[in-house]
Amino acid sequence: MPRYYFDIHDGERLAVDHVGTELDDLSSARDEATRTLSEIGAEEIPRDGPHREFAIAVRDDSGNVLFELRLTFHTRSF
Amino acid sequence: MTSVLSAPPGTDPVERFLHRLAKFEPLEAEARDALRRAIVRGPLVPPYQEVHGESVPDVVVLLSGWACHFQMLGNGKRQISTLVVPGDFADFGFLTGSAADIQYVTTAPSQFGRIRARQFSELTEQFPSIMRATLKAAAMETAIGRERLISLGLRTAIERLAHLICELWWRLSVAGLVGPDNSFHLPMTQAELGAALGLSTVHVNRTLQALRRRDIIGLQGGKVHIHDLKYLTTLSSFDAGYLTGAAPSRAT
Repeated sequence: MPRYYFDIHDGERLAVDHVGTELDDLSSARDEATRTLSEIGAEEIPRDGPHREFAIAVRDDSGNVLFELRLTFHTRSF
Repeated sequence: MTSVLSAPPGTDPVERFLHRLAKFEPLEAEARDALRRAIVRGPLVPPYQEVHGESVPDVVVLLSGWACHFQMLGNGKRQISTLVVPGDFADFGFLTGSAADIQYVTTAPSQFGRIRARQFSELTEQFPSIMRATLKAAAMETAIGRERLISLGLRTAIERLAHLICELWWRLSVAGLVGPDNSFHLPMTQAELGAALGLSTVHVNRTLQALRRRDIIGLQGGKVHIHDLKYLTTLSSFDAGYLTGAAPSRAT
Protein backbone atom coordinates (compact mmCIF):
# COMPACT_ATOMS: atom_id res chain seq x y z
CA MET A 1 0.00 0.00 0.00
CA PRO A 2 1.30 3.48 -0.78
CA ARG A 3 2.19 5.81 2.05
CA TYR A 4 0.76 9.29 2.19
CA TYR A 5 1.93 12.21 4.31
CA PHE A 6 -0.57 14.65 5.75
CA ASP A 7 0.83 18.06 6.65
CA ILE A 8 -1.73 19.79 8.80
CA HIS A 9 -2.01 23.53 9.41
CA ASP A 10 -4.37 24.34 12.24
CA GLY A 11 -4.34 28.09 11.65
CA GLU A 12 -1.46 28.71 14.00
CA ARG A 13 1.05 26.05 13.36
CA LEU A 14 2.08 23.67 10.62
CA ALA A 15 2.63 20.09 11.72
CA VAL A 16 4.72 18.34 9.11
CA ASP A 17 3.99 14.62 8.92
CA HIS A 18 7.24 12.67 8.92
CA VAL A 19 5.62 9.32 9.60
CA GLY A 20 2.86 9.03 7.04
CA THR A 21 -0.05 6.64 6.81
CA GLU A 22 -0.44 3.64 4.53
CA LEU A 23 -3.67 3.77 2.56
CA ASP A 24 -5.19 1.91 -0.37
CA ASP A 25 -5.05 4.68 -2.94
CA LEU A 26 -5.41 8.38 -3.65
CA SER A 27 -9.15 8.23 -3.16
CA SER A 28 -8.72 6.78 0.36
CA ALA A 29 -6.15 9.50 1.07
CA ARG A 30 -8.69 12.12 0.04
CA ASP A 31 -11.37 10.56 2.26
CA GLU A 32 -8.96 10.42 5.19
CA ALA A 33 -7.87 14.02 4.70
CA THR A 34 -11.47 15.20 4.42
CA ARG A 35 -12.54 13.38 7.56
CA THR A 36 -9.49 14.56 9.48
CA LEU A 37 -10.02 18.18 8.47
CA SER A 38 -13.66 18.06 9.55
CA GLU A 39 -12.71 16.41 12.88
CA ILE A 40 -10.08 19.05 13.55
CA GLY A 41 -12.53 21.78 12.61
CA ALA A 42 -15.23 20.36 14.89
CA GLU A 43 -12.76 20.29 17.75
CA GLU A 44 -10.96 23.58 17.21
CA ILE A 45 -13.61 25.97 15.93
CA PRO A 46 -15.71 26.16 19.12
CA ARG A 47 -12.55 26.70 21.14
CA ASP A 48 -11.24 29.94 19.86
CA GLY A 49 -11.84 32.96 17.71
CA PRO A 50 -14.33 34.06 15.04
CA HIS A 51 -11.97 33.35 12.16
CA ARG A 52 -10.08 30.14 11.69
CA GLU A 53 -8.46 28.44 8.81
CA PHE A 54 -7.29 24.86 8.62
CA ALA A 55 -5.55 23.10 5.77
CA ILE A 56 -4.15 19.72 4.92
CA ALA A 57 -1.61 19.13 2.18
CA VAL A 58 -1.10 15.52 1.17
CA ARG A 59 2.25 14.35 -0.15
CA ASP A 60 3.38 11.06 -1.63
CA ASP A 61 6.57 9.17 -0.80
CA SER A 62 8.64 11.32 -3.16
CA GLY A 63 7.46 14.54 -1.56
CA ASN A 64 5.12 15.63 -4.35
CA VAL A 65 2.07 17.47 -3.09
CA LEU A 66 -0.90 15.55 -4.46
CA PHE A 67 -3.70 17.79 -3.26
CA GLU A 68 -4.64 20.31 -0.62
CA LEU A 69 -7.83 20.78 1.37
CA ARG A 70 -8.77 23.98 3.11
CA LEU A 71 -11.46 24.68 5.70
CA THR A 72 -12.36 28.26 6.56
CA PHE A 73 -14.50 29.41 9.45
CA HIS A 74 -15.61 32.97 9.18
CA THR A 75 -17.95 34.97 11.40
CA ARG A 76 -19.50 38.15 10.12
CA SER A 77 -21.36 40.47 12.50
CA PHE A 78 -24.01 42.95 11.47
CA MET B 1 4.60 -20.75 20.06
CA THR B 2 4.84 -17.69 22.23
CA SER B 3 3.06 -14.52 21.26
CA VAL B 4 4.26 -11.12 22.34
CA LEU B 5 1.36 -10.99 24.74
CA SER B 6 1.71 -14.35 26.37
CA ALA B 7 2.14 -14.37 30.11
CA PRO B 8 5.42 -13.18 31.60
CA PRO B 9 7.81 -16.00 32.46
CA GLY B 10 6.38 -18.08 35.24
CA THR B 11 2.85 -16.82 34.73
CA ASP B 12 0.50 -19.25 33.12
CA PRO B 13 -2.29 -17.47 31.19
CA VAL B 14 -4.95 -19.41 33.09
CA GLU B 15 -3.34 -18.30 36.35
CA ARG B 16 -3.41 -14.75 35.06
CA PHE B 17 -7.15 -15.05 34.43
CA LEU B 18 -7.69 -16.47 37.93
CA HIS B 19 -5.52 -13.73 39.42
CA ARG B 20 -7.55 -11.07 37.64
CA LEU B 21 -10.87 -12.62 38.58
CA ALA B 22 -9.80 -12.85 42.21
CA LYS B 23 -9.08 -9.09 42.17
CA PHE B 24 -12.81 -8.54 41.75
CA GLU B 25 -13.75 -10.88 44.58
CA PRO B 26 -11.57 -13.16 46.69
CA LEU B 27 -11.83 -16.75 45.44
CA GLU B 28 -11.34 -19.74 47.72
CA ALA B 29 -8.57 -22.16 46.80
CA GLU B 30 -11.24 -24.77 45.96
CA ALA B 31 -13.01 -22.33 43.63
CA ARG B 32 -9.74 -21.59 41.85
CA ASP B 33 -9.02 -25.29 41.52
CA ALA B 34 -12.45 -25.95 40.09
CA LEU B 35 -12.05 -23.14 37.54
CA ARG B 36 -8.56 -24.34 36.66
CA ARG B 37 -9.95 -27.80 35.91
CA ALA B 38 -12.94 -26.47 33.98
CA ILE B 39 -11.08 -24.19 31.55
CA VAL B 40 -10.29 -25.80 28.23
CA ARG B 41 -7.44 -24.07 26.45
CA GLY B 42 -8.14 -23.42 22.79
CA PRO B 43 -5.69 -23.39 19.90
CA LEU B 44 -3.62 -20.31 19.04
CA VAL B 45 -5.80 -18.15 16.81
CA PRO B 46 -4.10 -15.94 14.21
CA PRO B 47 -4.72 -12.19 14.05
CA TYR B 48 -7.78 -10.97 12.18
CA GLN B 49 -9.87 -13.99 12.93
CA GLU B 50 -13.49 -13.02 13.45
CA VAL B 51 -15.41 -14.69 16.23
CA HIS B 52 -19.18 -14.63 16.24
CA GLY B 53 -21.46 -15.20 19.19
CA GLU B 54 -23.08 -18.58 19.69
CA SER B 55 -26.73 -19.31 20.29
CA VAL B 56 -25.82 -21.23 23.46
CA PRO B 57 -22.85 -19.23 24.63
CA ASP B 58 -20.08 -20.80 26.67
CA VAL B 59 -17.89 -18.75 28.96
CA VAL B 60 -14.97 -17.59 26.83
CA VAL B 61 -11.88 -15.98 28.30
CA LEU B 62 -9.01 -14.32 26.45
CA LEU B 63 -5.92 -16.06 27.79
CA SER B 64 -3.39 -14.23 25.65
CA GLY B 65 -3.45 -11.90 22.67
CA TRP B 66 -5.93 -9.13 21.99
CA ALA B 67 -9.47 -8.83 20.67
CA CYS B 68 -11.88 -6.05 19.75
CA HIS B 69 -15.66 -6.15 19.69
CA PHE B 70 -16.96 -4.33 16.65
CA GLN B 71 -20.08 -3.52 14.77
CA MET B 72 -20.34 -2.69 11.12
CA LEU B 73 -23.12 -0.44 9.87
CA GLY B 74 -24.83 -0.88 6.52
CA ASN B 75 -22.62 1.85 5.04
CA GLY B 76 -19.50 -0.17 5.81
CA LYS B 77 -18.40 2.03 8.72
CA ARG B 78 -17.07 0.15 11.67
CA GLN B 79 -17.05 1.01 15.36
CA ILE B 80 -14.88 -0.89 17.79
CA SER B 81 -16.81 -0.90 21.05
CA THR B 82 -14.82 -3.03 23.48
CA LEU B 83 -11.16 -3.91 23.84
CA VAL B 84 -10.53 -7.35 25.32
CA VAL B 85 -7.13 -7.76 26.99
CA PRO B 86 -5.55 -10.95 28.36
CA GLY B 87 -7.33 -12.18 31.46
CA ASP B 88 -10.68 -10.65 30.41
CA PHE B 89 -13.87 -12.49 29.64
CA ALA B 90 -14.17 -12.27 25.85
CA ASP B 91 -17.82 -11.25 26.28
CA PHE B 92 -20.62 -11.59 28.79
CA GLY B 93 -23.21 -13.14 26.51
CA PHE B 94 -23.17 -16.21 28.73
CA LEU B 95 -24.83 -14.23 31.53
CA THR B 96 -27.96 -13.61 29.48
CA GLY B 97 -27.68 -16.48 27.02
CA SER B 98 -27.88 -13.98 24.18
CA ALA B 99 -24.47 -13.73 22.63
CA ALA B 100 -25.61 -14.26 19.04
CA ASP B 101 -25.26 -10.57 18.19
CA ILE B 102 -21.73 -10.33 19.56
CA GLN B 103 -18.79 -10.34 17.18
CA TYR B 104 -15.17 -9.66 17.78
CA VAL B 105 -11.89 -9.89 15.96
CA THR B 106 -8.42 -10.81 17.18
CA THR B 107 -5.74 -8.23 16.42
CA ALA B 108 -2.82 -10.38 17.66
CA PRO B 109 -2.11 -14.10 17.87
CA SER B 110 -4.53 -15.06 20.59
CA GLN B 111 -5.56 -17.96 22.75
CA PHE B 112 -9.01 -18.36 24.23
CA GLY B 113 -10.07 -20.52 27.12
CA ARG B 114 -13.55 -21.96 27.35
CA ILE B 115 -15.78 -23.22 30.12
CA ARG B 116 -18.95 -25.03 29.04
CA ALA B 117 -22.05 -23.01 29.91
CA ARG B 118 -23.57 -25.79 32.00
CA GLN B 119 -20.37 -26.49 33.87
CA PHE B 120 -19.96 -22.80 34.66
CA SER B 121 -23.47 -22.67 36.01
CA GLU B 122 -22.72 -25.63 38.29
CA LEU B 123 -19.50 -23.97 39.43
CA THR B 124 -21.26 -20.76 40.37
CA GLU B 125 -23.83 -22.69 42.37
CA GLN B 126 -21.08 -24.44 44.24
CA PHE B 127 -18.96 -21.31 44.64
CA PRO B 128 -21.05 -18.11 44.75
CA SER B 129 -17.79 -16.12 44.91
CA ILE B 130 -17.20 -17.05 41.25
CA MET B 131 -20.50 -15.50 40.25
CA ARG B 132 -19.88 -12.40 42.35
CA ALA B 133 -16.46 -11.93 40.73
CA THR B 134 -17.95 -12.49 37.26
CA LEU B 135 -20.70 -9.94 37.83
CA LYS B 136 -18.15 -7.40 39.03
CA ALA B 137 -16.10 -8.03 35.89
CA ALA B 138 -19.25 -7.49 33.81
CA ALA B 139 -20.01 -4.31 35.74
CA MET B 140 -16.50 -3.07 35.01
CA GLU B 141 -16.99 -3.70 31.30
CA THR B 142 -20.16 -1.63 31.43
CA ALA B 143 -18.31 1.14 33.25
CA ILE B 144 -15.56 1.05 30.62
CA GLY B 145 -18.23 1.41 27.94
CA ARG B 146 -19.71 4.38 29.79
CA GLU B 147 -16.31 6.07 29.95
CA ARG B 148 -15.84 5.45 26.22
CA LEU B 149 -19.23 7.06 25.59
CA ILE B 150 -18.08 10.10 27.54
CA SER B 151 -14.88 10.18 25.51
CA LEU B 152 -16.76 10.08 22.22
CA GLY B 153 -19.21 12.72 23.36
CA LEU B 154 -17.01 15.16 25.21
CA ARG B 155 -13.29 14.53 24.84
CA THR B 156 -11.05 15.90 22.13
CA ALA B 157 -8.88 13.61 20.04
CA ILE B 158 -5.83 13.96 22.29
CA GLU B 159 -7.95 13.52 25.42
CA ARG B 160 -9.60 10.39 24.01
CA LEU B 161 -6.28 8.84 23.16
CA ALA B 162 -4.74 9.83 26.49
CA HIS B 163 -7.71 8.37 28.34
CA LEU B 164 -7.49 5.09 26.46
CA ILE B 165 -3.76 4.83 27.14
CA CYS B 166 -4.32 5.43 30.87
CA GLU B 167 -7.10 2.86 30.95
CA LEU B 168 -5.03 0.23 29.15
CA TRP B 169 -2.10 0.96 31.43
CA TRP B 170 -4.28 0.18 34.47
CA ARG B 171 -5.94 -2.87 33.00
CA LEU B 172 -2.71 -4.35 31.70
CA SER B 173 -0.91 -3.58 34.96
CA VAL B 174 -3.40 -5.76 36.80
CA ALA B 175 -2.80 -8.52 34.26
CA GLY B 176 0.95 -8.19 34.83
CA LEU B 177 1.51 -7.03 31.27
CA VAL B 178 3.15 -3.67 31.87
CA GLY B 179 6.92 -3.83 31.76
CA PRO B 180 9.23 -2.32 34.38
CA ASP B 181 9.96 0.48 31.90
CA ASN B 182 6.24 1.36 31.97
CA SER B 183 5.62 -0.04 28.52
CA PHE B 184 3.02 -2.37 27.10
CA HIS B 185 2.23 -3.97 23.77
CA LEU B 186 -0.67 -2.38 21.97
CA PRO B 187 -1.45 -4.66 19.04
CA MET B 188 -3.87 -2.30 17.31
CA THR B 189 -3.29 -0.36 14.11
CA GLN B 190 -3.95 3.36 13.98
CA ALA B 191 -7.03 2.57 11.90
CA GLU B 192 -8.29 0.28 14.69
CA LEU B 193 -7.57 2.91 17.34
CA GLY B 194 -9.51 5.33 15.15
CA ALA B 195 -12.42 2.88 14.92
CA ALA B 196 -12.45 2.66 18.71
CA LEU B 197 -12.16 6.40 19.32
CA GLY B 198 -14.26 7.80 16.48
CA LEU B 199 -11.26 9.37 14.77
CA SER B 200 -9.78 9.10 11.30
CA THR B 201 -6.54 7.14 10.96
CA VAL B 202 -4.69 10.31 10.07
CA HIS B 203 -6.09 12.09 13.11
CA VAL B 204 -4.91 9.23 15.35
CA ASN B 205 -1.48 9.44 13.74
CA ARG B 206 -1.31 13.22 14.21
CA THR B 207 -2.39 12.89 17.84
CA LEU B 208 0.07 10.12 18.66
CA GLN B 209 2.86 12.16 17.08
CA ALA B 210 1.85 15.16 19.17
CA LEU B 211 2.11 13.10 22.39
CA ARG B 212 5.39 11.68 21.22
CA ARG B 213 6.83 15.10 20.30
CA ARG B 214 6.09 16.35 23.81
CA ASP B 215 7.75 13.20 25.14
CA ILE B 216 4.61 12.11 26.96
CA ILE B 217 4.75 8.70 25.33
CA GLY B 218 7.17 6.74 23.17
CA LEU B 219 6.12 4.37 20.42
CA GLN B 220 8.30 1.60 19.19
CA GLY B 221 7.61 -1.73 17.55
CA GLY B 222 3.97 -1.90 18.59
CA LYS B 223 4.87 -0.90 22.14
CA VAL B 224 3.69 2.14 24.03
CA HIS B 225 6.15 3.56 26.54
CA ILE B 226 4.56 5.88 29.04
CA HIS B 227 6.93 8.66 30.02
CA ASP B 228 4.47 10.93 31.78
CA LEU B 229 1.43 9.13 33.16
CA LYS B 230 0.49 12.11 35.29
CA TYR B 231 0.26 14.33 32.23
CA LEU B 232 -1.97 11.80 30.45
CA THR B 233 -4.16 11.41 33.54
CA THR B 234 -4.64 15.14 34.00
CA LEU B 235 -5.13 15.84 30.30
CA SER B 236 -7.92 13.28 29.96
CA SER B 237 -9.47 13.66 33.44
CA PHE B 238 -8.79 9.99 33.96
CA ASP B 239 -10.04 8.61 37.26
CA ALA B 240 -9.37 4.90 37.67
CA GLY B 241 -12.30 4.53 40.07
CA TYR B 242 -14.41 2.87 37.38
CA LEU B 243 -11.85 0.09 36.96
CA THR B 244 -13.02 -2.10 39.83
CA GLY B 245 -10.54 -4.65 40.97
CA ALA B 246 -7.77 -2.81 39.23
CA ALA B 247 -5.13 -1.66 41.65
CA PRO B 248 -1.66 -1.55 40.18
CA SER B 249 1.01 -1.01 42.75
CA ARG B 250 3.02 1.29 40.55
CA ALA B 251 0.80 4.33 40.03
CA THR B 252 3.51 6.79 39.07
